[in-house]
Amino acid sequence: MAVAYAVLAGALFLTGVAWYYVSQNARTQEQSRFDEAAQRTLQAVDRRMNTYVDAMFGTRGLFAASRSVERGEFRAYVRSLDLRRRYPGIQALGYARRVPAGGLEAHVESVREEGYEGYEVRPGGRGESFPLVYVEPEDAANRSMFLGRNMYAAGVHRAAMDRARDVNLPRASGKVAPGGPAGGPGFMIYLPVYRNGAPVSTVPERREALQGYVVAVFRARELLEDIFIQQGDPSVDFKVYDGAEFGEEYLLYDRGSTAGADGTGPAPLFSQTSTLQVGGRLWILRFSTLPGFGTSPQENLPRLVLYSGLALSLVLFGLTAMLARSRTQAERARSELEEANRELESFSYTVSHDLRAPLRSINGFSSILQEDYAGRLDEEGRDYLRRVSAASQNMGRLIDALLDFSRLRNRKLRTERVDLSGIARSIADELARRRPERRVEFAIQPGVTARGDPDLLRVALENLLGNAFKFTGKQERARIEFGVEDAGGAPIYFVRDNGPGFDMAYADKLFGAFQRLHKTDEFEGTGIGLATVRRIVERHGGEIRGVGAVGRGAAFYFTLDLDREKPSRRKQRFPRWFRRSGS
Amino acid sequence: MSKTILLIEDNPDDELLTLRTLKRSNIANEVIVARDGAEALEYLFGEGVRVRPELVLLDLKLPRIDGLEVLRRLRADRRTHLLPVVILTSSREQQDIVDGYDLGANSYIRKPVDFDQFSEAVRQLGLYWLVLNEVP
Repeated sequence: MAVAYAVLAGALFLTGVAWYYVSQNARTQEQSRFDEAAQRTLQAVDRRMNTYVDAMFGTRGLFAASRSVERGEFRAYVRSLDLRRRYPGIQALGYARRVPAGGLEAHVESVREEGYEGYEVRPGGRGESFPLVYVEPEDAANRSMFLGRNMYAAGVHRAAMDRARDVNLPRASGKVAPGGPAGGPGFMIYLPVYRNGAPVSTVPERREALQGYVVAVFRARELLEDIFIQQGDPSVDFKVYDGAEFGEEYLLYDRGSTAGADGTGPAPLFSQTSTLQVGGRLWILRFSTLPGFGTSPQENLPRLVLYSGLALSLVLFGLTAMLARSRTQAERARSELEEANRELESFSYTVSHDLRAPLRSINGFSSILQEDYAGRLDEEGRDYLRRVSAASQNMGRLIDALLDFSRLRNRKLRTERVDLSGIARSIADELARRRPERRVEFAIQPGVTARGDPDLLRVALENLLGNAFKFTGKQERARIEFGVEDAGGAPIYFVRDNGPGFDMAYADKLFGAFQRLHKTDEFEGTGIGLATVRRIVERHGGEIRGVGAVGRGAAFYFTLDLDREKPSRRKQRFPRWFRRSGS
Repeated sequence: MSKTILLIEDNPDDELLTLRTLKRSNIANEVIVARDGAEALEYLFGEGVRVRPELVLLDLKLPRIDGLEVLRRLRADRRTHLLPVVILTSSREQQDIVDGYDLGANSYIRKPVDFDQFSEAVRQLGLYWLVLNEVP
């Protein structure tokens, strides 16, 4: 299970790393999108303000081109500019004329003579004043709001006007409320107009030559909204402050308020503050993302990575845990098996040692009895003693055979190419040598080989040939064959004899340990030979079958296939003809 | 000949059968019997003057100190490290045979169940080790 937890930890770590990387990547992309939007808006504001200032310079050009600009000329010029369409955000473009101290009455008189009966300068005053004499477009609102208005009386305007006069450049006022039907905050820009032909290279010269100002009235909302609709990102909030400080009193424009954000939402994802020079004043433009920002696919990717990574980690954990558990079970089964094998070995050892010792005593003392006390026993008694002796010897052989049989299971196979014909030949020679009185014909096919353990294969052939030799003991002309048949690629080895054979009804009992098909006094044997053969054949991935008929001999067919030691498909290895005849 | 055999054997039947065979074949004039490993070691290394055996017949499965341990101690001692030791046991376990030779056994004989074969084995090994074989 430790492995499973390690896998889980590793997968979670990788998920975390992937999530972090992807979300950083997404964040970087979002950031650059935001930066780009902010930069675009900033540039648009700057560009538009320059355009507007250019329009003011054009208006000043009108004054430079004529001795005195009449109201009709001004109106015609401004109309040609088409303010509403080409310069949205300019509420009014006007001209403030310089009226020296004490000249106010004459000024009012002259304007009234133009047909403005109720014209007044507001507020009036004794000092120098700059009343707006031309205001275009001269609709009712602009006329009542601006005509005759002395901007110079208010400090916020006076500072901008004085500065514009001294530097001969357009200068913006601070935030003001121009009023009017649209309302909202705004500002004004003043561009000085000097007397034609007068020198204006120094400040005193400019002050002396000043005739008035071209005045542009801006309403912030119209001006900036329009820029924003064209250039902005709807999910980015945008605030413009006049001056170097934040605060409601400096707030010229707040896009968020128009978009419905109330500032109580979550902290913005990104924000950025830029500054811009507008008519000599510093504006602060503050951009910040709204909650709607970042619903793009890139934003969802980290979450996707995170969730799928977590799911994958859990799946991996489950799989590993299952594997670990089944491996633990397999290991437990294996250790139980090893334990069982060890017990079997110690059992075998006990059998080998302790069961043989009393047998040796039985045999030994019955032999001594036969040797030393034979004279005191009659023939029957001596026969009994011989039977005791023979039985104990038989049991000794049985124990040895049983031990060999049980050791077969654990024995490690030593695999090489084995000369089966050679082995069969040497076994046949040994059998014939042991019983020289018997006439047995061995027909051993030369050159038969197989891959396997030479010692075990010798044991198998010893049993098969030994059985054949034993069971043909009563034949006049015994014939024993060993060879191989090729049945479609898989060789089938066989040992055949012309002995008494067996009844196929008992064929499945042939290979069981201690199963005998013949009476003990007919043919001797331990009853374990064929069981041993079958175990050897199976250890070699093969199969063995016996075929016989009473009085017509017996045949044993076996295969050896070390490459296919698994018992599956074993049934199919014998060809059809063989299976039919064998069942 | 004055030949002494030390028979280390815990089974009294086997002891009797071995003694009978040795007596019949006239090989040794004295057989000392130790019934377990400790007794054998006591005889070989204990106090007092003992007759030194020319051959040790050693069973493996013994009470108290087993045969392989006896063999290890014999081979570790200068007085007995050249003494011929024949393992005479019921076991045919490969591991016992390998261990026996590893520890310096001179021979490994498995006791046959058949008494004639057993007698013949004992007679032959006695003849070989006590008569034919030369020791330093």
